[in-house]
Amino acid sequence: MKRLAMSIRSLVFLGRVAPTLFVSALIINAQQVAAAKLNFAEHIAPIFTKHCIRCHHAENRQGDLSLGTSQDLKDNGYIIAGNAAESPLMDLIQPRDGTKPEMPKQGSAMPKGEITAIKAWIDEGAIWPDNVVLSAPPPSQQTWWSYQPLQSIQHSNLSQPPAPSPTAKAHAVDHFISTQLAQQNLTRSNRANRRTLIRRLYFDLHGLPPTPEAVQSFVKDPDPQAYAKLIDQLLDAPEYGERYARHWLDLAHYADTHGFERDRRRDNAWRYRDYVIQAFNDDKPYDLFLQEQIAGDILWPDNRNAVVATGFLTAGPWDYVGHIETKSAKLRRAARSLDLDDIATQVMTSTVAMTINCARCHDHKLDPITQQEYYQLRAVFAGFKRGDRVISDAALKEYQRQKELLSDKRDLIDYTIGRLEGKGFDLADIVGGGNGLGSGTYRHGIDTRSAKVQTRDFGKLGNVIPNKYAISPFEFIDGVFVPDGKDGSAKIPVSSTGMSITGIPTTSGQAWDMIRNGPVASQHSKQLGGTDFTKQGHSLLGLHANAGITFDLSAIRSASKWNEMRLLTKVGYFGADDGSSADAWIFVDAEKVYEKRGLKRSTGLQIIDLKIPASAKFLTLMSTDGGNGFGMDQIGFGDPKLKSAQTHSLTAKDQQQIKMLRLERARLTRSLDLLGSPPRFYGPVAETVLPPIRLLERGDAESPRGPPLTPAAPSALAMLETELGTSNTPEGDRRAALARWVTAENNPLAARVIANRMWQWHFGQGLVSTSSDFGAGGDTPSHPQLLDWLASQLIAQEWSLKSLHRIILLSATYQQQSTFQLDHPALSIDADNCLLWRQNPRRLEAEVIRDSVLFLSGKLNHKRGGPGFEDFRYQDAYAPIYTYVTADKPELWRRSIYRYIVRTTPDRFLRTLDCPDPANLTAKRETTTTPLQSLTLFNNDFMLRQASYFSERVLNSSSGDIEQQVRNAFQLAYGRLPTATEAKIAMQLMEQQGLFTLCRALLNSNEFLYVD
Amino acid sequence: MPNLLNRRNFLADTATGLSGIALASLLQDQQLLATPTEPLRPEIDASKPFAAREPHHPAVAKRVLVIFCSGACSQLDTFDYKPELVKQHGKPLPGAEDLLTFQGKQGMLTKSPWAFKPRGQSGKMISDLVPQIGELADDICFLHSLTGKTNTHGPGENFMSTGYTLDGFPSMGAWTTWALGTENENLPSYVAISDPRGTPQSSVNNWGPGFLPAAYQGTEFNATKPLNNLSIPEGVTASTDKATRTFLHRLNQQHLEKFPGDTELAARISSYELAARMQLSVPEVTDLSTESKSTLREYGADDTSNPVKAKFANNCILARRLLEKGVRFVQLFNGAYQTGGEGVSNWDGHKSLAEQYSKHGPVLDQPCAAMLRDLKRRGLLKDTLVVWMTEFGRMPTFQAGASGRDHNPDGFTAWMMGAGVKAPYTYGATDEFGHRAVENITTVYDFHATVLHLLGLDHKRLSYYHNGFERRLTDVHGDVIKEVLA
Repeated sequence: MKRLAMSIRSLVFLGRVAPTLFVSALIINAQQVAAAKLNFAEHIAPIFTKHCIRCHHAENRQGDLSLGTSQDLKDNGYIIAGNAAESPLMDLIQPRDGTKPEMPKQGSAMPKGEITAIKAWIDEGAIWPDNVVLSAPPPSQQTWWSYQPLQSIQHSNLSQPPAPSPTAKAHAVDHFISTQLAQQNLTRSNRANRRTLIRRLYFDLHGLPPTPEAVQSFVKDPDPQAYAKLIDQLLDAPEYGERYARHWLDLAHYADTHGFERDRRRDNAWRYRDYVIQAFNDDKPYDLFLQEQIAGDILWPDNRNAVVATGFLTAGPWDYVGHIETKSAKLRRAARSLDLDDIATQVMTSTVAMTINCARCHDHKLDPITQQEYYQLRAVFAGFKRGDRVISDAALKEYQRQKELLSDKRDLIDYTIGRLEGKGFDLADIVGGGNGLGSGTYRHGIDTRSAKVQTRDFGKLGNVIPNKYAISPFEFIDGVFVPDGKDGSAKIPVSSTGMSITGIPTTSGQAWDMIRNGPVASQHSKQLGGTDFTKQGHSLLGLHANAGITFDLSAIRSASKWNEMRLLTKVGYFGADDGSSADAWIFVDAEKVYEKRGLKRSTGLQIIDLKIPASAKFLTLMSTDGGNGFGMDQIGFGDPKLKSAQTHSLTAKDQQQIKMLRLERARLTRSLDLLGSPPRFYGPVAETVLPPIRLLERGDAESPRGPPLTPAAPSALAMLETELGTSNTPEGDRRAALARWVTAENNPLAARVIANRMWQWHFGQGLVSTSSDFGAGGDTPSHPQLLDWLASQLIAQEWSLKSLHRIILLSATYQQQSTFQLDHPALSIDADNCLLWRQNPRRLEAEVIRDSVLFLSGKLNHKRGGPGFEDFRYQDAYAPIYTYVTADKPELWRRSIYRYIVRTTPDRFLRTLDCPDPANLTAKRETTTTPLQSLTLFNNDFMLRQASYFSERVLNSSSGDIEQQVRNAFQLAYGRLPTATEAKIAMQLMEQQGLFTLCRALLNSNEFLYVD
Repeated sequence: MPNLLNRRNFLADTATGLSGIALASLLQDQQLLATPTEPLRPEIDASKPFAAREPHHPAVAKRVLVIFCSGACSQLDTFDYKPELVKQHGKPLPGAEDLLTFQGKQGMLTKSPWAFKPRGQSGKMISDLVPQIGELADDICFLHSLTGKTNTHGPGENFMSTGYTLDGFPSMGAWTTWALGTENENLPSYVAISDPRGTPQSSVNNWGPGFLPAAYQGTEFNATKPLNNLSIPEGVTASTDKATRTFLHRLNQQHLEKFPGDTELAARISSYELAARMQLSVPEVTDLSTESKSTLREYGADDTSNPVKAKFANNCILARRLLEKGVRFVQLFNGAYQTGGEGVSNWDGHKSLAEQYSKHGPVLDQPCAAMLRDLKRRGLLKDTLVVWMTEFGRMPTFQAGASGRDHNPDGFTAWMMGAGVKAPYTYGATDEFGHRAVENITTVYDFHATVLHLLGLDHKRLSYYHNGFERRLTDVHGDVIKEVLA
């Protein structure tokens, strides 16, 4: 909520500009400027400053030349006034025969226009007014504010020491703020009322609104310490970590897919997200938090959390095509170069707010970071790639042992229950490598070309030889094949003993994907006839045409002890209704026992119940494409079961045993659920050979220059050693060294940067407004002393972020009201509120809106941690397709932090509400206000359904009395009762339009969307 | 010069070395600030983020239509005629033995399956794959010497649409609408019309906001896929909807009293009014039923034998209607990935180019040509810039063992038409086979710089500070291609 009008006066007095006044050496007035044809100060000085001054100024006279004044140029004969053609300077700066000119040595050549300007200036007499003195642009490591050690600022040093009080530290914050306000004759605003404060704290610390009960009890609490206690309570709640992890993940540009055009899944990434949440909740010391994220796997290899923390390094996008798919080595080098840039940039901007990436193609234009230093930093990261890795071999082994143990036990129980109940064998489970009783793996498949087991998805198969029988190693499966009847003439083998079938029509002879325990790759639907065959209690044998599979009945008989059997299943066409059709067939010992031609989706499910004689040896299921191409021909056998033909009656003893077994089974299932997915995470995977890193000319991966570089940190921080290893230092040790450099006690940046971010997260704007750029391209601190004091406090409190929260939140500055009167004196001086004469009202971020809406409707699912929820349909394809669905079931009503974040296909709802693109490192959220946002909040399906749940909740919690409904709705949405006017107009609306309408409006209102 | 008030500009100026000028005189005489590289940012009133804004210099083009052929449409089978390729058909490309392109090794030089014929008064040679577009040759300015930085589709689309191969940078349309706002606030300022077959490879990144405020992202809809959340929800009557708005307005006004003069809160209130107007004007502009039968016929929207073409034709009519109503930036896509990569639903003809392009040519040609003629007839080309582009070009050879062409970023074609563009005109040339640009070699940066120039924007000054950089559409490159300006 910024005002745009900011007076020039405020610009000047704020002092933010002052540190850059290195140009103030002269004063020239406008008349002088107008008089000259070519004005030195206006036209020429900027060119020298841009290209030359850095190496040629009073303090750095390389080549014995300073361009601070005209003295050296003239003395050394570089310039012959009035004669550019004869002036040696021109020779130095002009390109010759297409080669780079001698000067400037660093950076790019001067553009033509600038060379022409210098030539004209010399020809005009090379007039350089005496009062014009050029100096090297700051910042240098000696002068730039952010590279200096933290100022030690004691309360006693302040001109007006704060009165002693229990929250003296917070009062110190106020002191810094008041001092600068007082300079403008301004004062702080009044303390906000308790209702406002509790809402502000809840949104700030949890990203959720308070319940009306919480508001009531806080407002009425007589305890003078109630506010401080509330802060403690909120910081101790797990919602705090969920809220603050989102801030950190913005900086890490975290997502659950790779990004780029293929945008594949990154299913193990979530462990890092959970690590961040946990770290905030545990109040992990911030220096340790950074160390773990940069090199936890090296520093504490046996600490599971420290290892997972390194997911930070790999959280950004990764180009599958550029790294893997392309055949061009040049493209792969380019992709890798950009990859390293992304990693180095993320680490340095998030931790120390140094924009080192600006030195990729040339020395940093503004900050004292050379191009070489940039590549030395890259040498820290060059030894690893992004990839899935196990948390530790021991953890994986233990996991597998546990899992096997539990699964084996459960399989045995299933088998026994199956035996006792005469339940029958599930053919889909057998296809998935199972025993027919549930031990198979969902979606595992058998390759129709080779009978090999395949776990990944395939599309159209290559190298298919129709009518070739491949024998399966599975106990219950005899073999598989791709049928092509060749107009009835072909003999198609259907068993390992040489049985064959004929009379099958011509097919394309093509095949798609595998025969699967579940849907085939890219299957149009898993539902048919109202049944979702992937749901609990159902199974599906996916048999995309053209394919056939033969089961070994003898083996099944000897395991089951059944003689005569029955085959029970429902076959159907699971592809889309696009006109094509397919056929399904069943054979027993090569005798056709079932045939259904021209199956389409609209045909629905065909119920099959076939008797299989005790003498039968082979059962064959087959699908063919109907001669109209095999596209979409996704034939599936639903719930395919082989059973004993004998009806089965259970004895009391059997029944008792089954009951016990089921209890045991439920226990085992819970244990398996608790075990979760294998201990893998997406993190740094060491390269086998450490590749040498060289400086890349203009950032071009094809133009390496000079010797291999050793890992080093930027020299801008003069108090720190730059060396991070030698060329022999192993990959991990380089990172460990960088982690130590970043968090070194005398590195002033790590503490300053996080203190500033914390301030930004509480006030909407940092003391340095560019919170990821503390260099000269960024802003300078509005309250430098306060910033350093906060940073020192953080270190003094052993890097406890929660302590820093308390200091800020307890300050009167934070607790000010955000409201004001139109005649407030500050409006004419500091409309932007840089001086903090009030708190900034802020619009809720996209995720906070979503979570708060769920909270109001009563639907928020508090499940914490684990794999992200997927509010999209996933379709595997060359480029996977993610189609968003309306989140309308409990699994999708979790907090947004647990969203499975698709990098390239954003959630439209959130993106419209300014959720940033995870391709970017986001230091600060932008807020925009657009009609499309209004349409989204007003009409989006999710919002409407939630408005409806909200109204149900209000209705259920109120008596039939409309007035009470209005009161409840307002209390839930705003944490307060409606005013008399509000109640009146709300009741009018309700009477005419109903409660839903009121709830829909409240969810769209400014008071709900903004925190005061 | 209101941008003086922007603190960031100020810092950038001083830091990039505008030495010798004191702060005092700076503030006295704003003219002194003007240097060629100083960022010139739009002054955006948060309460009216889409209000039309003045360009840097007088603009020739008020709005832009980008026709994007997704999949890398071959220059050699459309607009870049190479007689030598016909002569050397079946022979090896000199130096191709060691040439590994995206999918691997090269086969023989292969002439286009389509004949080239002279078109228009100018006699520009254009293939029979796009004969109707060819007939407009006299109105077109061809650039045959574009060079790119990548030969991969996703990065290639990103590069053409955002100036960077990576994801996450603002699209050309986002830069344009950020700078200029729009002339019709009742419609989205920037519309991306996706192909009836789906979205392009880089999907929304082609019209993404990058790090610019999300307000400036393209809004995606087409003639068959309506704008999301536009209609009054099912089960809500128009009168209820209106009553809800009225109530909401009163609630918000009450709230505003506590924050007198707060522009952002006021903007949110008026955004609901704007949204209501959009609910009227968008259906109006997307309602093609008011188009005459002859128009539908001209575009091919009545072609029942080719539903994809008919749908694309409707998209072309929609594009014209949006431009007519003053939408600032329209991106019209031809070709999609998700429903069939490798040339099935797009121009990525690796393996069976003749067969696939035979399908794609007719989808593009008639509807697109009709749209261009229509724009001209209605006088819209006077201040509308039309740009045709694709991610990169293709090889003059067929791939080893296949009947299609591999990717080639070393010389490819784009064209421009309309406001401020010289026509008929051909700029630059590729070598005798159409493989590499050799004459007036130009870059995507130059191309973007030229588009911005026609819109009245200096590509070197239209910048946005992000994580240490003054970011531009043209990175740190690009020169306006003066030769193509009328």
